[in-house]
Amino acid sequence: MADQILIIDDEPAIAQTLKPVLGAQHYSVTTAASAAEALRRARQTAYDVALLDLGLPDADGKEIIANLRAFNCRSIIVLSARHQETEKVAALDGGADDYLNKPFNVDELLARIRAALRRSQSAAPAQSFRSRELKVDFATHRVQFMDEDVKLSPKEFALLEALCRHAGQVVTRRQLLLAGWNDPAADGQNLRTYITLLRQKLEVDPSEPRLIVTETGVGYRLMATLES
Amino acid sequence: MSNRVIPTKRLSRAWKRSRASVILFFIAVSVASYAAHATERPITAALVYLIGVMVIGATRGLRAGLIAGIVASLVYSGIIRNPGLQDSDVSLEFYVPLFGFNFAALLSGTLAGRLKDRAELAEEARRQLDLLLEFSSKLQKAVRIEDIAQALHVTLSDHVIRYYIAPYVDDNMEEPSRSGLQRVVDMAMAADPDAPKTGRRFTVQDVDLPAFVDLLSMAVDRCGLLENRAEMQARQQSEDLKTTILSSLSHDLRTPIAAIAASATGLKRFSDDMPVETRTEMLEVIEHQCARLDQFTAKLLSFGRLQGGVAAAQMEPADVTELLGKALASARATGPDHVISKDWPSQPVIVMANPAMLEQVLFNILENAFSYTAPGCEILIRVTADSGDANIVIRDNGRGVSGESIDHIFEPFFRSPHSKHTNGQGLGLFIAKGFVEAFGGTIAGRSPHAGGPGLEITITLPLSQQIGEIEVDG
Repeated sequence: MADQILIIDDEPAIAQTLKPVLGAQHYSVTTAASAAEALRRARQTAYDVALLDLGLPDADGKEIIANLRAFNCRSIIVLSARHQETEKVAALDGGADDYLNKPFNVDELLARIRAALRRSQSAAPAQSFRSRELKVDFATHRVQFMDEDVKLSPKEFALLEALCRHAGQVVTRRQLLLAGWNDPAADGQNLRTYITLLRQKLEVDPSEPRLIVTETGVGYRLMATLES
Repeated sequence: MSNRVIPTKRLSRAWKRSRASVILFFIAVSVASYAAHATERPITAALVYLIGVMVIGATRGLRAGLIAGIVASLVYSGIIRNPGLQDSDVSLEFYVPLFGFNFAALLSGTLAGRLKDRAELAEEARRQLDLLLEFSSKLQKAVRIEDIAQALHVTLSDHVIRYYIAPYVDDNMEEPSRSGLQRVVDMAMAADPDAPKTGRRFTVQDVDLPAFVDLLSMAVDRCGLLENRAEMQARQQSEDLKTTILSSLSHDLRTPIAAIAASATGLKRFSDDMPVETRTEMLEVIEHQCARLDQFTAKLLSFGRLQGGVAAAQMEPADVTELLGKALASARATGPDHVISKDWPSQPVIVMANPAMLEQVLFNILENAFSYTAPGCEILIRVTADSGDANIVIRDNGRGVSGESIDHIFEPFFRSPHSKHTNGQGLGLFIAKGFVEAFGGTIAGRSPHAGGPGLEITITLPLSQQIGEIEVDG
């Protein structure tokens, strides 16, 4: 069965454009122009991905994230034209899985949807991560970059694992602090230092990272695409 | 009013000290006069006494001179000339010189004393004038209330300000001047006690209170007017800027919209008759112009943030090198063929800033460098951290900015005369400067080869205080 996508946006042009684009990728697309309509639809159908605009006419998009989750919506990607980092962080901490700034590129949107589906549809937690350049075994802690073994410290590995388990999706600083230090209030300076160390080991050019990219003011994203 | 406060404890102590020496001096003169009289030198005796009275009058003022004259008359006539007044043989010859002496003693005491008092008054007036002149010259430079308070603080002691100036202002000044003056007085008293007091040599007697407070009041009024004017000018400038932005919107928004609309309409109506390359080209125009619109709206958003001010709550430790990498990746999209020479530490360089705004700053400068240099040209990016500052240098070897224009590159809507054909809106560097300054940093531009090609932008931001050593495991 085709994956079910719910587009929640009051701007008709967005729905009008995305419906054929996503349809061409064999997704089954439903649209909702308000928070009330979105919740009504989510009650009837368990969507795989919801694309949620934060500026809805009848409610702040953030407020319906928890409800969508309660109605078995598996993954929520926030579409935001209000580029305020604090708002994105609030939505992510409130249960959203990812965000995308408007205006966005269609390729980027499709990549985010694929990452969200991959994560929400895997039945059991993955044992390993494999992409073109990176191979990570979560059980043995073996890491290979460009087919060469890379030695990581336990903290570096914990952070890399968190990023790999959300490959293609943003991981907030809070989530990474939890993964590495079991404490969301730990010193962000430590996180920054470890990300720098990881990049020195896993980036071709650590000064312009392509694998572990910074989502300014929000967190980090592992850009690796999975091997099919 | 000044007379009311001039007699002070200090004054009366000094007076007591001087009174003792006057009495001693008078006794010495009396003894000398008696000795002269006893050795049959009556004229010398009278002269010694007269000189004594004159000296007292001249040095101690009218009151002391008068008292000395009277006492000298009594002593002279009672004891020296006629000891015990036993002699009953009184004649005109006895009284005339005695009367003459008494009169001369009183007169010389009075005259010398008045002369002394006049001189003292003149001296006091001169010192009051000195103080007023010195204070008014300090006030000349004052443009803010704080400057006035500082001038007051360094001119007079806290004691004088607290016990003479402040009560005078409270009792004698009227609104609206009073509240301004009270503010100045309070600020002067709260000022740094270690600031050098050039005016310590002035004492309470040197303060002509009404004139001094008048001077102060005029300065306060003047600063009030200046502040109002500055405020109005700032408001006017902000309004002008908004107007300019609105008018530029018409150009900077409508030009890309026109291109998009033309491409879309063309594709809709004639796509069947177009070769594939033309269709692709038109679609690329749409994509490119959309990107341009997006960048412009991002700048407008930044401009809005700048107008709203950057609150301390929006600031957090941010890594300059990380944000540079990110900004560079975005900027490369606008000029893929440029050669970038990167020179920055592999360790984080942490400053206090809003990361998104700092990224926008770096992107704006890089975008500017990219758009003014031909493909294949080199752009140098260097970050150094030393003596508490992070220095970011971005240098291109593009067309550069001519001598007099370099001072204007951070002004809104400034475009170099060479930039007619580039797509900048002239907001990028203006926003960069606004954000950098909001983070407590500085930004400057210069021509790396005086008057020649290239532009070098240097940003200096204070390094964030390191939060202890980082423990690195394994």
